[in-house]
Amino acid sequence: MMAVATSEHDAELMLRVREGDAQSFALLLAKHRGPVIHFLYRMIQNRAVAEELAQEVFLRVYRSRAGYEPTAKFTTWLFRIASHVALNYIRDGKHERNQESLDGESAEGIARQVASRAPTVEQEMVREVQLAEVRRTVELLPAKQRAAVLMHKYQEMDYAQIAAALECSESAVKSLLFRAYETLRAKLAHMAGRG
Amino acid sequence: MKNTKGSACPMERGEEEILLRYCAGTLAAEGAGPLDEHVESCPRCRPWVREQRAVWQALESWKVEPVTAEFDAALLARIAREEEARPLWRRWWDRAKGAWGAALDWRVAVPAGAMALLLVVGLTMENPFRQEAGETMVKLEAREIEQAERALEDLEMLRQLEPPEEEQKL
Amino acid sequence: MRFLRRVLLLWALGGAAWGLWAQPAEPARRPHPLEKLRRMAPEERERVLRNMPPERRQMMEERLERWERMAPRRKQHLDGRLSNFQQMKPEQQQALRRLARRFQETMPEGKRMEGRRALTMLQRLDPEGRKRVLGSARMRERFSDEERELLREMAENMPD
Repeated sequence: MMAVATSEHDAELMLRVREGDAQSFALLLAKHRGPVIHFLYRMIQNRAVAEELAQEVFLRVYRSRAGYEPTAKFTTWLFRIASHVALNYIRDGKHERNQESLDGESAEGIARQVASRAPTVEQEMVREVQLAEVRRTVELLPAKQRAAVLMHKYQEMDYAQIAAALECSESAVKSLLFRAYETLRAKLAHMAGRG
Repeated sequence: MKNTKGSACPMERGEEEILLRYCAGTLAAEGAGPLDEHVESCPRCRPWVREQRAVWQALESWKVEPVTAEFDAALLARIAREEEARPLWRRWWDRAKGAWGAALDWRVAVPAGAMALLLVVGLTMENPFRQEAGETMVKLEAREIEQAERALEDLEMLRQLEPPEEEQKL
Repeated sequence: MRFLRRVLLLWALGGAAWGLWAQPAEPARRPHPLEKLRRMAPEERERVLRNMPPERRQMMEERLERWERMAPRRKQHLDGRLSNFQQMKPEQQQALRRLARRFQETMPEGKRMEGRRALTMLQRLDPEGRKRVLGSARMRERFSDEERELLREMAENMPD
């Protein structure tokens, strides 16, 4: 029920943006920039590029405000744009060269994440290795499977929403997720009980 | 031949999707309850669920750092720059379209726009406040400062992409 | 209704034609904000930039000073390139910014100067010439596949 109310609120805000209300755009941005950037980051695995692409996503939202009609849930529409931008970027072959080093940034990020819990050096190293493995495995998934898994896992979108975002059928989404999780299970299942 | 249709095992029925929802916690309670028992005892489902949960847990460990503070400012500056670059009539048109939607018909808009254009042309010609080229202007709006800042950034980028010899040459 | 529409349209067209005919030969050009900033006296500039966050302001001032120290021909050259860059489509501009950032981030420091030289040379060539040069043994020796690809993309996106 909460989700419906929120999505209705988003659509309302977007309708106000359509009427020229900049404040409503700022509210939508504040609410959705995090999920969009995180999605793009996990897709591309480069912080700077993810933020650039997220800027492109919100620019497109802003540019299409005049023609906006609340026919779909706002989040679905937003992630359709985000997926489009990410898949285009990957299709153009730019992303292989742009991935951040798994040894550099991720180690730093992990160190920051675990610092507050003050783990032992050994635990820290195990986590670091695990995270690098997760990132590498996700990166190896075909782009559309990756997008489907990220929306399913982190945005908690259902099949219908993912299908709308990726512009394919629900059965195609099921098949994408099935294959993606099969690969992930084969590569990551050994982590059970570790760390 | 074994009949799998009536089986309680989602794997046997080829419905792994149910197990996926079970692991994700999105299966309704009435479906999840009986599955708990089945998964516990089923030699096919148990390892599948264990592995899928491990994947879920592994993905959960992948946290992303918060968004940089400059993100909004950079985006809003880009929007301001774009708006600035768009012709005035286009901005007016989109705004009106947003407010009035389909009610704004081109048959009304074209003559109205033409009349407005006529007015603008007339005012431009006769505008006594028009600034002469070369006149120094000391006022800069916040948006203009951002434009100048972006131009300086771009200039720096172009400079940094040239070898120092170019500097010597010129 | 149709008659009224025609009258309005004719009136508008007539008005527009008259407006164009009556336009002054050289309309006043609005200077770019950067141009305005450069023309300002130091105290004016100080007043205008006063409210900016200190780091951004310092960066701007440094860049303005660097430009001021340049030889006139160098200034003219760089401004010309900036103007060509600004005439590119926003997405092309964004692509070049992204590539330039990648160049700074991924090209090893020891190779950067050589990369800049290669870029200047590649820019002057047509796509076929670029391909030939980038495929040469000398370039292969100095730059990895990714680095050569980056140089090619940049050369394609650089303004004149």
